[in-house]
Amino acid sequence: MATYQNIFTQVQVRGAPEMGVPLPAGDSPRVGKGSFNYWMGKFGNAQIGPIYLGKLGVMALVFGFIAFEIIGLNMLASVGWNPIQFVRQLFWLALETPDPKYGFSPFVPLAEGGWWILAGAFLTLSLLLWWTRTYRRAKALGMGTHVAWAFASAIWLFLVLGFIRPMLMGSWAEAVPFGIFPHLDWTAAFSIRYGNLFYNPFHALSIVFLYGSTLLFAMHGATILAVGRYGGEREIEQITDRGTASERAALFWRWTMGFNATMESIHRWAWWFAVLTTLTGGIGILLTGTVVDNWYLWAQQHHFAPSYPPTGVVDPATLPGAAQ
Amino acid sequence: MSQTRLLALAAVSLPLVLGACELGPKTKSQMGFRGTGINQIGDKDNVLAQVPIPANAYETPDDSGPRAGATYQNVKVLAGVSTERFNHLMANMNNWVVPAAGLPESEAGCNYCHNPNNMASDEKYTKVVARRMIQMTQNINANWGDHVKQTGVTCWTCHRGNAVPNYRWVAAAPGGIAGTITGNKRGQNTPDPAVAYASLPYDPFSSYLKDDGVNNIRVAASDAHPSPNHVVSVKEAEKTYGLMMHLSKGLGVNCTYCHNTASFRAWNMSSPQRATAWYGLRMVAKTNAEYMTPLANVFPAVHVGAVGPAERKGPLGDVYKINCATCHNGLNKPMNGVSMRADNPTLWGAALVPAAATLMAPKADPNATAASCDADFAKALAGKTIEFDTGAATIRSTSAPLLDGLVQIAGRCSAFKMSVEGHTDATGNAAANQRLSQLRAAAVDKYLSERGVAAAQLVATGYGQTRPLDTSGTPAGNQRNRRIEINVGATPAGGAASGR
Repeated sequence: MATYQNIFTQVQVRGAPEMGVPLPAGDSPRVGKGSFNYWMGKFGNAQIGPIYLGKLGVMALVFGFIAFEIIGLNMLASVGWNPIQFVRQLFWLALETPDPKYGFSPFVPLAEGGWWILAGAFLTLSLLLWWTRTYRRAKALGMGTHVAWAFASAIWLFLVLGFIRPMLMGSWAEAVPFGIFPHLDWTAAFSIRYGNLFYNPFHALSIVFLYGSTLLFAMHGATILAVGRYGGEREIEQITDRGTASERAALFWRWTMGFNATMESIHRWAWWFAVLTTLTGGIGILLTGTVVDNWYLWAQQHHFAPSYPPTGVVDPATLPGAAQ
Repeated sequence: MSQTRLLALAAVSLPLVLGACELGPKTKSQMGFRGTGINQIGDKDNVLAQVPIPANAYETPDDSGPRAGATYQNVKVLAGVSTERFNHLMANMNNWVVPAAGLPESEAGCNYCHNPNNMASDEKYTKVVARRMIQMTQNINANWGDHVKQTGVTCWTCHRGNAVPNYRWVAAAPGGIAGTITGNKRGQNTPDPAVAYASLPYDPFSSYLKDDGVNNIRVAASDAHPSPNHVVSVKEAEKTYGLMMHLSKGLGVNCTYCHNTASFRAWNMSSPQRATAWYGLRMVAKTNAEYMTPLANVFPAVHVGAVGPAERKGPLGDVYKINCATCHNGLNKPMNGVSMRADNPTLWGAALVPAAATLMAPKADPNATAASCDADFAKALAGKTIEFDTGAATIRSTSAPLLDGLVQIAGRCSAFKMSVEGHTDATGNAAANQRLSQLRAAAVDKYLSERGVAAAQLVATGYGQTRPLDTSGTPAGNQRNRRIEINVGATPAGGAASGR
C-alpha cells in the first residue's frame, strides 16, 4: 500500500497548481500557469511555476547574462576562438584583472583588464538587483527578510574581494580573476603574499562558522529526517504546536549532548553561522594588505601563533657580500 | 552483481576518485620540528631510476708532458693543461654530449664540433659554443660551491647524451593578436609543464632566471604592517609561485623540502636546502646572463642536418637557457649526488682564470682629462657588478672581463690619482663591513696594479656602510649600496662612477 513518506516521496499529491497569494496593485503578473514534473517531485515539490520575475528579476538576469557572456567570450578569445581548445582548457582559462600599473583607474584598455572591470560591474549590478528582489518578494509575501540579509552577507564578501579592498589598496590587480583554476591559484598566491592567511583571526572565525554551518546542517537535517515518521518535517506546525516529533528530537539531543535547541532556535543558530561565515571572511580579507601585510608576523607579535625552534638557517641575502 | 553490492563498491571506490593524487603507497618522512610541516612525501611507485653515468673514456692521464696550447693550434681555454688531459676531456665530452650511437658521422663525436680536416678551425658554431660551455662548467665548479658544493658539474650533468639538454627554457612568445583579447592568455592560464600544469604564469624564468642582478623573491612582507617600501602585487606572488612550481617539479620535491608551513618567508624555520636553492637561483641567472645569452650571435636559429629537433633558439630569437630542471632532471641532487670530479680534474679550474697577466694596461694617454676618465669609468661600470665570493674579498672569475676593461681605462688615466673605494650595505656588523670593503677595494687595486697600472696612482679605501647611495633599506637599495667606485683625481664620492 502506498504510504506518504518524506524520503523519496512515494505519493505525489496533485491538485490544481497552487497559484500563490494575490499580488499587490502595480506588481507584474506571475509568469506561467504552473505544471507538474514527476521527477522534480522525487526530490522536491513537483509543481513548477508560476514564477515571478518582475522588472528586478528580468534586469538581474539580463545583467548577469551580460557578465557571463563577457567572461565566457574573453575565455573563448584567449584560445583564439577555438571551441575545442575552449572545452579542453576551460578549467585553466580566465578573465584576468588589470595589471598593477593601472592602479584603480576605471579606464583600462579592454584587452588588458577593462573587460574584467565591466564584467565585475555587470555582475555586481545583477547581484544587487537580485538582492532587492529577494527583499521585495519577502515583503510582498508578508515574510521576514532573513533570506535577503543572509544573501547580503555573501554579497559583502564578494564586494570586498572584487571592489572594496582593491579600492582601498588602489589597485585592481589585487582583485580575483574570473576562472576556475586561476581563482584558486590566486587564493594560494594571496595567502603567500600576505604571510599565510591561516594566521588571520577573521579567516579563522570564518572557517569556524563555515565548518560549524555544515555541522549544524547535518545535525538538523538528520534530526528532522529521523522524526519525519512522526510528521517532524512540518516544522512550522511543530513550532506552534509541539508534537511528538519535536519532543523526540529534543529528547534525543538532551540525552546525547545534555541540552537541545528548540524547533525555532535551531534555525537561528544555522542562520547566524551561515551569515557570519561570509561576514567575518569579508572583514578578514578587508584587513589584509590594508592593515596587516604579513599575518604570520602579526600573529607572532600578538602571541596568536606559537613560535617553533629555529633551524639555524640564515637568510643568505643578509650575509656580508651577498649578491656581490 | 546485485544493486546493493554495486552501490557498496561505488561507495568504497569514491575516495580514490576524490584523491586527485597518484595512487599507490607513499613514504612520509618528517624532516623538521613537529608541527612545522617540514615533511617529504615519497611516491614509492614513481621513484626515478638512476640514469647510468657514462664510464670514464679511459683512465685519466696525469697533468705532465707538453701543454695542449703548444701541441695544438687555436686552443683558447685549455691551453694550460697537458695534451694528454686535453685529449681525455675531449673523449669524455664525446660520450657526454654527442655519443656516436645511431647518429650520422657529422652529428656525432669530434665531427659535431670540428672540421675533421682542420681541427683548429672555428668554422662550426658548435665548437665556439663548446669552448664557452667548458668555461661555464669551470666557473660553476670554481665559484658556485655554495650551490654545487664539492660535487660540481660536468657536461653530462645537463646533456645526458643529447646535443641539446632535455630541460631548458626560452622566452615565451606573446600569443595572439597584439592589443586584442584574441589568443591573449596574459602569460598564464594554460596547462603548461613549465609550471607543473598550474594556471600560474608560465614564463617565470624571464623574470627571475635571466638578469645579472637577481631579485630576491620576497613577496611576503618583512613587517607585520603595510609599508611603502614593500608594495608587491598578488600578481607578482603568482609569478614567484610559478617559479616555485618549476623548482618543485624539476627537483621532485614538495614545497616543504625547503619551507615550513607556518611561514614560507621565515628563514630561521626553513631547511638548509632553502639556502642552497637561493644560491642555485643566482647561479642559474648569472650563468644565463654571462654564458648563454651572449651566445645569441653564435647559435643559428636552426641546426642544419640535426637529428631530432633542429631548433636552437626560441620564438623570440633568444638562445636556450638553463633552469633548475636542466641539471636536476627531477632529482633533488642531480644524478643522486654522484660526482664526476675525480675523473675530470680539467673541469675544476682555478678560481681566477687569467693566470698570467697576458693583458697589460696601456700607457697614460696625454689627452685624458679627469672628467673624461670619470666618464669612462662610469660607462664601464654602468649597470655592472664586480663580484666577490660571499663574505670574502676574492674576485670571481666572472668579473674578469669587466676588470680587464677597467685596466684599459686605468692605464690611459694613470696620469691622475685614482681612488678605489669599497662600500657595503647597512646589514650586518659595521666593523666587519668596514673591513670587508677595505679588503675588496684592495683586491681591485691589486688586480689593476698587477696588470701594469702604476701602483703609486692607486689608493684603496674601504668606507663600509658609511656612504650609502640608497637609504631605503630595501633589497634593491642594499644591492645599490654594495659597490666598488673608482674616482679620478681623488674627487670626493658622488658625481663619480660607481659599479654595483
